[in-house]
Amino acid sequence: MRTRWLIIAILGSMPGAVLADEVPASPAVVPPAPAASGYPAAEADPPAAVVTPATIAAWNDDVSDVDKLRTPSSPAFVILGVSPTEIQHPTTPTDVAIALGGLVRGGDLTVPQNAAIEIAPYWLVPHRKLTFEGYRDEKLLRPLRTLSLSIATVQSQRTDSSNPAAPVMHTDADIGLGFRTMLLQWGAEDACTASIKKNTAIISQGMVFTDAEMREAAGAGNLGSETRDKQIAEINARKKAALEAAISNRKQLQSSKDICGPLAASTTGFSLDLAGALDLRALDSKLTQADTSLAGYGLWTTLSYDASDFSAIAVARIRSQQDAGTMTTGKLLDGGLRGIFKRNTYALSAEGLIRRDLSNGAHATTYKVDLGVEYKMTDVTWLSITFGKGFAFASGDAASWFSLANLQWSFGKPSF
Amino acid sequence: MGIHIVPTTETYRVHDGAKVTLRITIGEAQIGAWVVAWSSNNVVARGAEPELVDLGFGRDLRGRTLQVVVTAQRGGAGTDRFSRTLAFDGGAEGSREVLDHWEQGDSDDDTVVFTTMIGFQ
Repeated sequence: MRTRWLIIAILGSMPGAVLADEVPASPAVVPPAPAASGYPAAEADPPAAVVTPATIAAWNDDVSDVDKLRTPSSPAFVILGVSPTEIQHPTTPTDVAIALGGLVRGGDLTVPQNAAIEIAPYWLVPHRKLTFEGYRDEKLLRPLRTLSLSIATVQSQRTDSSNPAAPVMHTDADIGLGFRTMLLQWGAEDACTASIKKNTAIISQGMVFTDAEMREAAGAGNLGSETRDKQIAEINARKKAALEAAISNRKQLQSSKDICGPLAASTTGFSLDLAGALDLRALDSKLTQADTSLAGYGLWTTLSYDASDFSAIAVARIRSQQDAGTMTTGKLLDGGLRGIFKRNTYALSAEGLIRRDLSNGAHATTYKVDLGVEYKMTDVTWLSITFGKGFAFASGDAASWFSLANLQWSFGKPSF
Repeated sequence: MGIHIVPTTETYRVHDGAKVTLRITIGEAQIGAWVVAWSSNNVVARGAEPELVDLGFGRDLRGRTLQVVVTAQRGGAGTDRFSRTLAFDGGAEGSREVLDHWEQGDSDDDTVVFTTMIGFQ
């Protein structure tokens, strides 16, 4: 039995900093956005690493893999293994034209470095009459309204050693094309929505003029006159300042950014997400038919049920990726289930995953199971312990039950 | 959290014997709430979803100023646009819609308040 203990400190929303001498094989996991329940919503991107034969084995020790397999928010970035620091989110058709215009320069048909664009087509044009209730309840339009498209490029170096006397360095480009949508959703009003309604009702009432303020405004001139407009603006400014001061001192009035994650992560009830991506490789960064081929693909789906006390998640993913250096292809089929029971001071979770390696005819199957508990020690400190069995493609690791034990000491909220 | 205010004024001509109604719609799938009031201690109606508000007969409205305050915050919609539509009906000019909108852009304000003073003539 191989047992490891890790102490991981998570500062705010920063990825975990490993304090122990043993580093997890997987990339750091970015904690998901907080949900109204007090726990971060179980929404996280898969590891930001391209799946290659070399990295398949290295995925064995990840914790909470079900979350990493969930439908990614930007599949194109995931399929390329890039985490762009600045993603362009065009908000108008003009913005889109400018952003896409940067992808292909002039008549050279070359691919630029580090393009990362995400577009929600439905929201490129205004929907002045679309109410929140309509958005939430019109199920047939939900896949269209939640559809987002992502495009990204990344360049890599390749050495052509066909002539050992004169190896040639090539710069290839990968273009990731991805989509994500929420196919279905059923459920009651979530805590985020309820909280915003409460916030906005309080603010609306707070902005209504008193009788004295109405008289003050009326005394400045006729309705629509410049003097009256000016007086109304002064009163509005006073009321706004008072409200903002009150808001900063009242915890029940929080920023929507603080209490709401993405709609998919903050609703209660069932939701079914689907995402997919293609990796098109352009040799020597030339966008010609002869030089462009499919280097990888991924398809993700997530079915989840979220309630105030518990969450249940089922995920499936198939992903194939050609290594740019060795030109070998790794292919994985993953399926998993995760259940989380949440309380104010603790959370329990259990997950199980099956992984089938379809690379090079290997057809090996392995699985992972683990149980976790997180306990609130102080307002900022959570103790997290996970026991389980990791993936093990190698036969020697096949019997390593409960081989993984992690002790996570977190500053901030837990990773459930 | 910051509040952005969009102040507007409107006038609406009424008939003495006709009932005037107002419907408020918060668009762009944003979440919000509204208040229709003569003043803070004389509220006609409150709500969150579109709802027909009966303001009364024209003879009782003429010469008065009504406040409509609509507040919206970003919810789950994929846009930073906000809009509010006031749909009047029953007046001398029949039905009329007034649309105002605001786009958050790079602003730190995540809450918008559309505050409208409506004078009845």
